[in-house]
Amino acid sequence: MPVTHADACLVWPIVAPLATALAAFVLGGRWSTRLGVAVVPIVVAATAVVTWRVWHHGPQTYSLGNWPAPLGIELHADGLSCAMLLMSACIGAVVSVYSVGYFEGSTTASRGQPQKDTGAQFWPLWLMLWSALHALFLSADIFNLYVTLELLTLAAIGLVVLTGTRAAVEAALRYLLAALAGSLLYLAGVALMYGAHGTLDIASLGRSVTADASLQAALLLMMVGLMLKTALFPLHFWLPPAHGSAPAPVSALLSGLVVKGSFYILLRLWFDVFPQEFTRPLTLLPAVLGAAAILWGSMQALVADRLKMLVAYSTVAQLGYLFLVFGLARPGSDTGFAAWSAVVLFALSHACAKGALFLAAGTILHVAGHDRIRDLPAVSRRLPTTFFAIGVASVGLMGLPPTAAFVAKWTLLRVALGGGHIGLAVVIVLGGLLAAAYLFRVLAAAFTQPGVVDTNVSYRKVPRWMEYSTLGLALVSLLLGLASYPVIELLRIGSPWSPPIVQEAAP
Amino acid sequence: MDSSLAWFDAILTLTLVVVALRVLFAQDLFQAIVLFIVFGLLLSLAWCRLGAVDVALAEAAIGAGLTGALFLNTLATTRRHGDQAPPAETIDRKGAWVDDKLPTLRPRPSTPWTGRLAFGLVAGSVTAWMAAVVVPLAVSSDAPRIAIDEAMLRSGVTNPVTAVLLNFRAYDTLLEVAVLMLAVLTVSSLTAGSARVSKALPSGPVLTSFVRLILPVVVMVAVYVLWSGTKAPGGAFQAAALLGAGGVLLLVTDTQSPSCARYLRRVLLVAGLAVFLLVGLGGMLGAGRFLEYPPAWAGVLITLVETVLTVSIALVLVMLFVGTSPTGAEGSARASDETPGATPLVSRERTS
Repeated sequence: MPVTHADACLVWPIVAPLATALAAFVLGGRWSTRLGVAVVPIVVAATAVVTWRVWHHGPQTYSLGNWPAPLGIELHADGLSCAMLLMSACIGAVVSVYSVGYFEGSTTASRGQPQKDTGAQFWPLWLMLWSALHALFLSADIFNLYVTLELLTLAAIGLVVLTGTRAAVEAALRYLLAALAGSLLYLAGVALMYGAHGTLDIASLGRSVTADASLQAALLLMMVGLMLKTALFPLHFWLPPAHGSAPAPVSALLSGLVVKGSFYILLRLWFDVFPQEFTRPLTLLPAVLGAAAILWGSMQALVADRLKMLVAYSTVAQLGYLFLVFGLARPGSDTGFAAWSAVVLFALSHACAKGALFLAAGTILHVAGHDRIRDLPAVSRRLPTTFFAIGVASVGLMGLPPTAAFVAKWTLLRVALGGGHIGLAVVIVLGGLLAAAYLFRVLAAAFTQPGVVDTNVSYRKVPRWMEYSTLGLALVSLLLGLASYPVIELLRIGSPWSPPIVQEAAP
Repeated sequence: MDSSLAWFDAILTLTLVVVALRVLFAQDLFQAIVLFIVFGLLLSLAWCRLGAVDVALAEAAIGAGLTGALFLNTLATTRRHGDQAPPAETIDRKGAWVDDKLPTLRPRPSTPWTGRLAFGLVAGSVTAWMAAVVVPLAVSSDAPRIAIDEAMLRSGVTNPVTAVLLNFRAYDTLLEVAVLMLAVLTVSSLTAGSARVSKALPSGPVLTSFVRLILPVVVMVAVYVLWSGTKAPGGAFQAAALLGAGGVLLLVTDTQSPSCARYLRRVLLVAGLAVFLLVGLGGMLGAGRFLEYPPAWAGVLITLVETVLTVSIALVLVMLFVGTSPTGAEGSARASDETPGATPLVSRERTS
């Protein structure tokens, strides 16, 4: 037994924010902000160390309490986990910086409403959410994944109700009911798998499962539950109100990170646990629903009259792309890896671009007190940096070169055409056009219409950090395209395609 | 099997189904909640018959007891803030809570019977399908099991449930406690210090002396359940549920309101999770891993963690019942006119 465990680095991305959340809760007030900011470099460094180890030494496993699976719970980091961790660290860091400005002075009363210390309540909830995300991305145990999902959902709901408005409470209640239903369906699947195979460890399940009735039931239950939690059309009904009425940093976190959590679990189960011949008959269902989501979400975004609702419906549409992976990626073929890694890359790119867009919308709301799209021209003169960030993030969302979304969509298109899925290919192209259409509604309002500078309206001052952090995140989404190659190489580590496999003769 | 027990099981199962149906078809929400509590108690009997005494304890204390109390609380709140305008004294001093924050609950138009039938059919067929899958699994005895006999020797406790919860899968429990903390944080961010507990029971000498008599017993039983958890069914969650129920009882009757400083309350709320984390990190000293206990110390450390957890979880359950704000510094200060620095655990509202 080694004296020190280098793989202990897996613990820190989970423990650091959790411990800080407790301290922030106890100390409260100004201290919660200070602690929240102080932990950011620690978390970023911890995820970087994990990635560094995986990059150089391959997938890492850590037995908590020194009880190896199946008795104990193991943490596991491979390329996919690392990519997700890096995404979470990057967006979490930016949102933390933004939140310092956003919640500044939240204690002082304004507009005749009795104020609570929203900032002091934000930090413990957000740090717990961060911890839950990392726990989820690092878990190698299907029951532990359920616990992290619950932690993630409850933290997200606590953040949605922070504003305390009636719309937020109603949206949060709907979100809570949908999310609990999703969790319970997933849990039922976990119970079935444990009953049949006596283990909760993903790796051992992947080795021992056999195609039988209980596995079929488990797969369907988990799939529906996780699709509900990822807001796949037509189960997306809870997302737009929840994401649209939350405080801006929270919307960015929900759209950028939280929905990716349940998607990540589905991705893992589908490719790591369930046997291929078993999932094949079901591949078209999520892919077709994903295609429908792209079209429906884009349509709704086209007619939305508030910027935040537009961005929220855009999330419904973009999540549709993620589900194309189940129709396009086939285990055991090289094109399978191409489609799989493209979709993960798309998720990363979407997280950055969408996060930036929501932060920008929040800044506009903060400054102008509204986010009506037709009244944007007057605001755009006041916030050049923010509107520039919207422009950059829009490029990322539309999938223009050189963004990662372009690389991802191009690859998906190639795989779809190669596999004969003409319909999906058409939707991929159409989705990009529709995204351009609804995003140009915003850009046109900001850049082309002559702005009527209304001198009667008083605008609030905006902390400079809010604007710069938004722009920074938007630029990351742009530059991610240039880093696509190393990201894809990272994803290969420990993926189902990682041992070089002979390509199948005929797909 | 003993034939009289078989009869008991049959009657129990039948009663469970009948009570469940009565809950569903109850016209009055109050009646439905009472029946739900009855259902929970019967269910805990069923768990006992299945040999899962730990689950039975939790079901009785949390499923039936505290959930029932939360439901009754909610019912009282929604009735007060329902379709008629709320009486003036229920409005928060700043006038916020009622009109701004709680969505007004109005009775929904009832679903047409075709909708109900369709929903019933879907739910029924899913249940039947699940049963068809689960029953063969439950009957077959060749399903693989995890061997824990050897590990039990190093776990520090002799009750396997405690060994799983606090040692083998302690990480799950750690995160579950964080879930409880989050629930309190969320509830407090919703109510922001303006929630009150209505005095649900009329005060009187009989009730007051009953509560005075029962509370020490509740505390003693909780300590026993906690202590015996290492060897027999019991443990932190069950003990905390008992303590929490005692706390709720104290709040709804007219005895002295327990008060504690806001700061202390926050410390006690996080103490369980914080100690658990520290013990876990302590395991990493030397050559250990996160949440690893040295076998010689395992029993002591588990008892320590469980004891602190009991206090924190009990407080969490009471706070969930109260729905008051432990963080809203000015919120709680606003709600009280007591001495600064120490606020009562709840601010009481007289319904008279």
